[in-house]
Amino acid sequence: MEGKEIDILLIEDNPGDARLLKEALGECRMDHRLEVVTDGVEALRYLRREEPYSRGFRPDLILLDLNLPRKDGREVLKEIKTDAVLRRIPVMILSTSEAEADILTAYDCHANCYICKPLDLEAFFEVAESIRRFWVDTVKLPAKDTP
Amino acid sequence: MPPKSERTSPVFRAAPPARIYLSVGGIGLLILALVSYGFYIGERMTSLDAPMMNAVSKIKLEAAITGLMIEEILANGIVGGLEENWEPLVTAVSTLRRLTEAQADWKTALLPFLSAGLQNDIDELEIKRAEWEAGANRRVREEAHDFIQDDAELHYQAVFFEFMEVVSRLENRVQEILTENLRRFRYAQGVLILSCLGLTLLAGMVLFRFERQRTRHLKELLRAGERLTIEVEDRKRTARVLSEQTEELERSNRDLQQFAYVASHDLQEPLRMVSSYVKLLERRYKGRLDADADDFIGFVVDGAARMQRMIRDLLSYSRVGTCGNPTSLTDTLEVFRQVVANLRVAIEESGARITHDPLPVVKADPTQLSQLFQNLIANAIKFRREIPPEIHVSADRNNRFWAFSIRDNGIGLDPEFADRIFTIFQRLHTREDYPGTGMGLAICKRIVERHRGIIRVESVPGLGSTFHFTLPASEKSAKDL
Repeated sequence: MEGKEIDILLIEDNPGDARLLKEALGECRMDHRLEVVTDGVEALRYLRREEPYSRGFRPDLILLDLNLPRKDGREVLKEIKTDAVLRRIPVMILSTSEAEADILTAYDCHANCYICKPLDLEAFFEVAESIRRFWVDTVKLPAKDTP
Repeated sequence: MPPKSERTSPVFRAAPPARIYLSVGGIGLLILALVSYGFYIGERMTSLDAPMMNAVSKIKLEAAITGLMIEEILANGIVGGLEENWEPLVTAVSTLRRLTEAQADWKTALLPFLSAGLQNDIDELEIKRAEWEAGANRRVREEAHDFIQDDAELHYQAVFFEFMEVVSRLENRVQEILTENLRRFRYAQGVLILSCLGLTLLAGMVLFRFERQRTRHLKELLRAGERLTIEVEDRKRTARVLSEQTEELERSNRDLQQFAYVASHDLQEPLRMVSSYVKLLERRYKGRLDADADDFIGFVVDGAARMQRMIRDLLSYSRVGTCGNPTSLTDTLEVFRQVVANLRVAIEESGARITHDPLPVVKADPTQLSQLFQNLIANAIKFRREIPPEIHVSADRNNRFWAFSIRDNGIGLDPEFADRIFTIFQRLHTREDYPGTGMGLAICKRIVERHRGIIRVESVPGLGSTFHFTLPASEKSAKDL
């Protein structure tokens, strides 16, 4: 390991999925911090360090589910990508929807990539593995402290 | 309401028949003829009988005047100039004769005995008048010569009275004729009036009968009309109910499709949790619990995986109806090649040989057409015997359709199950022998039916099956091929 570290914010309302991702990430041997918020409003509060998240970290990567309570994932994506500070954070859509309309909307709103939640556990673990390989090992992310 | 079997059509009998026109017209003509004849007879009688009576009166008058004139001449002893005094009487008699002769042509036929007497009387009248004139002349001559003899005077008197007798007989006779004529005229009038009355009655009856018939027909017609209206209303109601039912059916069908789609889609979510976590259990704890626990976990994993496949297939089955693309001109040869490429692994593993005849362009949803071919060819490979599969695809133009056949040399199936294999989750074999959810052919049937075609199978168990299905032809393909 090169000792690289990544901070991930998972916006997911289904605790089963959240835990599964946590397990999957845990199995791929990488230094990471994972924070989970369960709806769109909370997510934006977290990103803007509003109460009660003033002590949260600024994530290197956002994993965003599309169907969320209160504020829908598409709106969250739009707000992130129109925010001068937040838009540099890569957003990965993680959804069960395979609908063409959802995929197009996501990319139109400048999502960085779109991944369908695999039905199979092995495939799910592959996704976690590919996050590590791509976003940790391959990609050069923007420096955190850059204003 | 009369029973429906009685429903004859009175429409064709509503118009009056020709014989009604003929009989009423004939009666009318007969009445007209009778009335005209009556007028004619009356006219003839009044125009001739009155002048005749006048003529007789005139004779009487002139005879009296002539008699007086003769007496005056005698009293005054004038001789000569006697001849001119007879003129009016002669004229009067000849007038009567002329009238009698004018009437003779028809009156003698009508009143033979009276008319014959009349003629004789006139003859006699002329003779008597001549005698009277001769007697008068003789008296005048003798008195002039003054040898008056009672004899001449007596003779004159006698002749005069005889003449007057004939005149009065004539008068009586004319009166008689007149009376008889009048009597007959009245009688004829009566007959005429009665005949007219009778005929009018007859015509009335004919018309009444016809009218009654016509009314009856009209009533029947009205009743038929009412029945028709009721029937039309009935049909309208039935049509309305039917269209409502159709609408309801379509709606519930849509609902059901929507339900199937939503259900299968949403069911995937929790199932994904079950299968993911049970696999995680297996991954982390296999061999660390006892053998039973490993078995149990194995069953859960297998069940969840199977259910996932079933839901996936159910979803694609319901998508045939809800998520189809519009039909377009699709080259089935292209589709066939794509499917063969997709199935490359299975074909190589089984050593299958797949051949085809010329394949047409059809009007179809390309994605679904591809799924249809893939399911059928994959089935033909899957249900093979120990020998390598031989599969042949052919197409025949049949009117506005293309009839496709996919023939194989596989295990075949009992014709008894030929229909059942197209229903959802129907399997003829155990999963251990031939894996699968039993949805493949149900999806095929649904695809074919969405294209307004039919699908069926012919098979000889142990020798192979042939799946037949139809797809709508494109006009273009008819020219091309």
